[in-house]
Amino acid sequence: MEITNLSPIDVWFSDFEKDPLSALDNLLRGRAYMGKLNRNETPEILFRLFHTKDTGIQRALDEAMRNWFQSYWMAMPRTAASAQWAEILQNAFISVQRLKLCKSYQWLSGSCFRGRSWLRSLYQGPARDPEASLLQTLALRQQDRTLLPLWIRLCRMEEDLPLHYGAVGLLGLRKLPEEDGTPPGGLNPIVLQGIVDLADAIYHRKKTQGEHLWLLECRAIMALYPRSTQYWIDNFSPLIHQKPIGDAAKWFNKTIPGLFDKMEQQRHDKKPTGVFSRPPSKQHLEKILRLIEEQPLDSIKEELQGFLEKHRHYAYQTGVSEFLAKTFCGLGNKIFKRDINLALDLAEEAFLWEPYNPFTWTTRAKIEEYQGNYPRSMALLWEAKRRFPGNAHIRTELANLLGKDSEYKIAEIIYRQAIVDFPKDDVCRNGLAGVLLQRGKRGDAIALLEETIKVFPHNKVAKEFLQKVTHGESIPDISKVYKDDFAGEKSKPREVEVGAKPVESAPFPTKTKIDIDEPGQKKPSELKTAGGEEEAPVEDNIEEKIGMTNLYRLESRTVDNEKEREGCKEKAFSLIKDALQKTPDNVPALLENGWLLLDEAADHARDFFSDQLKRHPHVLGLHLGNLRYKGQKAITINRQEWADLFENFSGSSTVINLERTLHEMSHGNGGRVTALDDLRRQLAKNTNQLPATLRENERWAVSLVKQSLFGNINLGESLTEDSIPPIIANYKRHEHLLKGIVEQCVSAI
Amino acid sequence: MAFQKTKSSSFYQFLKTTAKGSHPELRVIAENFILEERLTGQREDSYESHIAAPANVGDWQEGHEGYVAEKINVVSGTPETFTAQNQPNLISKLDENQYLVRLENATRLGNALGLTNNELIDYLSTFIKNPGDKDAPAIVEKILADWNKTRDHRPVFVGFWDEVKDLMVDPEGKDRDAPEWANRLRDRFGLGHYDPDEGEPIPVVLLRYRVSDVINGRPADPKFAAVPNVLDSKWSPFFCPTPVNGWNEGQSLDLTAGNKDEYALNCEIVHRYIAYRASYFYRAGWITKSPGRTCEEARRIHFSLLQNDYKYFSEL
Repeated sequence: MEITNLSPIDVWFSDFEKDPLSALDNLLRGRAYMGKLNRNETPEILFRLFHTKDTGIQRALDEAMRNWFQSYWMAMPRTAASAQWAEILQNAFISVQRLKLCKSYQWLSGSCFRGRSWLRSLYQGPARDPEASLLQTLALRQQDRTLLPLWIRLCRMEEDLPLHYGAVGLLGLRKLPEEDGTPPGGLNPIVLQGIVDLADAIYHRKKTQGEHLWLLECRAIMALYPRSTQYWIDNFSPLIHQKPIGDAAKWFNKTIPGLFDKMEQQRHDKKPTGVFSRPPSKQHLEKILRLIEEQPLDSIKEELQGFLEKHRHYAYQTGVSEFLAKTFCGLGNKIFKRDINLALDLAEEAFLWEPYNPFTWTTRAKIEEYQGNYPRSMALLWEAKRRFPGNAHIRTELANLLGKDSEYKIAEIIYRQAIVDFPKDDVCRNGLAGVLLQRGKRGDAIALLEETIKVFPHNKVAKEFLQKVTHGESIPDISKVYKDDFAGEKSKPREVEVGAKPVESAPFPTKTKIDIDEPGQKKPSELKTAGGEEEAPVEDNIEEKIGMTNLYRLESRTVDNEKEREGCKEKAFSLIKDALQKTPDNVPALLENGWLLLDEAADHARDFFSDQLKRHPHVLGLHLGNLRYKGQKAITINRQEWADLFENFSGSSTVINLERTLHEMSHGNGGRVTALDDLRRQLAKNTNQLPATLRENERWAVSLVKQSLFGNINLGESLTEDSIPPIIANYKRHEHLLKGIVEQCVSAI
Repeated sequence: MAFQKTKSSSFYQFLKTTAKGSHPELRVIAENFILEERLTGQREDSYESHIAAPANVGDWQEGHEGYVAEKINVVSGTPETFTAQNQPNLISKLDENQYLVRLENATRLGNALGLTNNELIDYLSTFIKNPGDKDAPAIVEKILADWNKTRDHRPVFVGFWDEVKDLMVDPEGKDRDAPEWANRLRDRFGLGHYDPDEGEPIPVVLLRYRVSDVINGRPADPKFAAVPNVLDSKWSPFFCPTPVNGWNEGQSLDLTAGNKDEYALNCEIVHRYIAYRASYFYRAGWITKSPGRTCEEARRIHFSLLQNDYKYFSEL
């Protein structure tokens, strides 16, 4: 072996000078021995190596780190063990924070949205939780207020995450910069709102250890910001008044003696001394809408800007984003034909606040389509379809868009599947009728419309549609039909009622300036992150491939013709193979692949699930797929395996219960009645306590399972062997649908 | 038993080659593996399944880190160190009342609260001096809760209070308020990886607790402590394996500046995970200087004191 006078650190630096990315990769992955520093944790090693170096070398590290993230984002090495990789990622995130690596930070903040489900899949407990490490890094190095909605959501526990994410949310709020980007000069009132929100969420979700965690957080924050007791009383009591938080209010009295007395006094005075503003009034909105109708946008620029600012101010002050999202999307829909840039900015800003609100997805898609960005619009809708399986409107929008591109066959499949998933939705039926006409299936269209009118006798659209068809119009204006269908959207957008899925903040600017005179249209690719960096490139067509795979896979279950069935599967396999080649750790793509293998009853499904569970131990869908495979192969599933899932994925009890029931129905060994009865009890539970990101999908699943599996069974009574024959019949009739509910819910990540 | 059992194995030959060449900081890692006598056959097999036949130091280190990640720094369950696989090295007879001490790098402790290192050390110092302070306990409790939650279950290296208390208290038992305590303690325990070099000082906390605190965490399981060996942590040139013959604990390097005559052997052991409590915080401060003695020099003296007990010293 060559004798060298260079220390291991010198050798590494020499490598770094030649090839920074490779040297950094070796260090992060434990391939570089760092001599006297080696025993330290990686972030400490990197800090010691670089913190005294000149800015040029630090910049090289920053560049290398960003490239490193790009190389491995959703594509970790094949041989990597998940526990080790989780630790490596944590070390990388911490290093970005400690060494203030700006480019890496900006890349991460732009890639967070698409990376979180992957990071979450590596979760092995609070000690190996790369997602929390990333969020902590983002919180500590915030350069603007872009991430505020994310911190609020974490405090409200709107995502299905462990308790300690609430603490990350509070950290993010505390470290939120001032509007000019400077560090916070004091305790932002939004932190107090976050504390109240967290108490409320913990109380309602009945989180174990929740009170203890909350008290620790609250006391630590009060110690970090010494204020008089009167200050705390004056500032907390109006918040608690505004938001009744039940017994959680008692926790406040443990930390702020006298709070209850003050609140009692305010109750008598009936004048809570609120420090927060109100959202703009309905009258103000109506005035703005009137102005938009009557005047050129140029002439109402100031008025409109003022109105938007009021909404922003209210959202920033209170963290309540409902009004902002609804209004901004509504305005976006209203003005996109007159000022597309402004419309898109408003929709993006709404999305930033409420990414779990489907309305923010469909609005963006609509505007993107209008400005000719068809692939982006399509990608948004495919992704929305996956994230919000319980939302019928997204299906209609997607099918509509596909129809405009003459993809009638795919549109038809989407509608057909939507009709099964949403038996009470008349809009999908009318949409399907339109597509059938386009495909020359006039008879089918008429039959469908007639059936629709039978089921929904008051449906004017179907009646009018049928009338036009029967009176000789070969293909009535379908868009008119859609428009009529959503005429009520202004006042009561269907989407707003629905909230579903995860939910990271996206890399778009929070505040958009109205610059109506600016020529040219801003393309999504030109959008910058708040820090001025370009957002991470988005593989838009990946979502399309995943969506199409899902479509063909489900279709293959229903077509009778074997050749067609095989054709569907072939297409599905080919599409998902492409998607996984580009992003091998894309969790929804992996799940689609797994379901496909199960449908094939392929032996290598076992290896697939076993390998992927080693790489992604925290993905419910992979666990359920693995158990489904065992069922298929008559391998015994012990009770503990189900119990572990209930414990580790407590927010998804309905889906787990449903899968267990399906298993018992088809392969079980005497546990059928128990499983059905457990499911019955589960369906009766109150869904309000679920995180917002799960709630609407859960409601959809509950409703569909009730209808399709239990039919007319009284769910208030326990099930017995005698009462289940009709349920068995239902199961046989709707097996594919029920399986599909499980698959769609676990893929909505 | 150790890797010497099959001297013709490719890994052993790799160790021999590595120990002969290269820079001293790398050489010593191979030396440690050659000298190590405390590995059971099971642990050796477990390790070898991760390293296969390394072609170079990078492969070896990657395999070692993989082994440590999977078998030692576990997030749940028990590290191999405290299993029956390591039976000969388990320690069960320790007086439960005696104090153990551990010096921890505190850099990350304030992260979850967004504290700077200065703020962190100030809060901890205030708390240690005056646990009844109005604000510090709330902050310390929060720091502890986060720390306990995010620590994995890796073996915890500790020394014995009696062997280092001269650095912290005077003969009458009063606290010495010596600003150099952290540097000295680092040197005494051979924690050479805590080296600020010419850069920012390293914030550290000294934890002191009783053996019974470790045992009481899981009283039914007697496997609470062990003599450390080369497989129980990441590589460090400052670690020296301890011979079996005549030594019931590990012996740390002494990096304190001075003559060979002043060199002190200090016992070190590893114990299983425990949740730290606020009452364990004994000091908080800064390591400001590099160790007083180089690793090479310390090892030379160390070996001169232990070499007769090493079974395989002649292999070096």
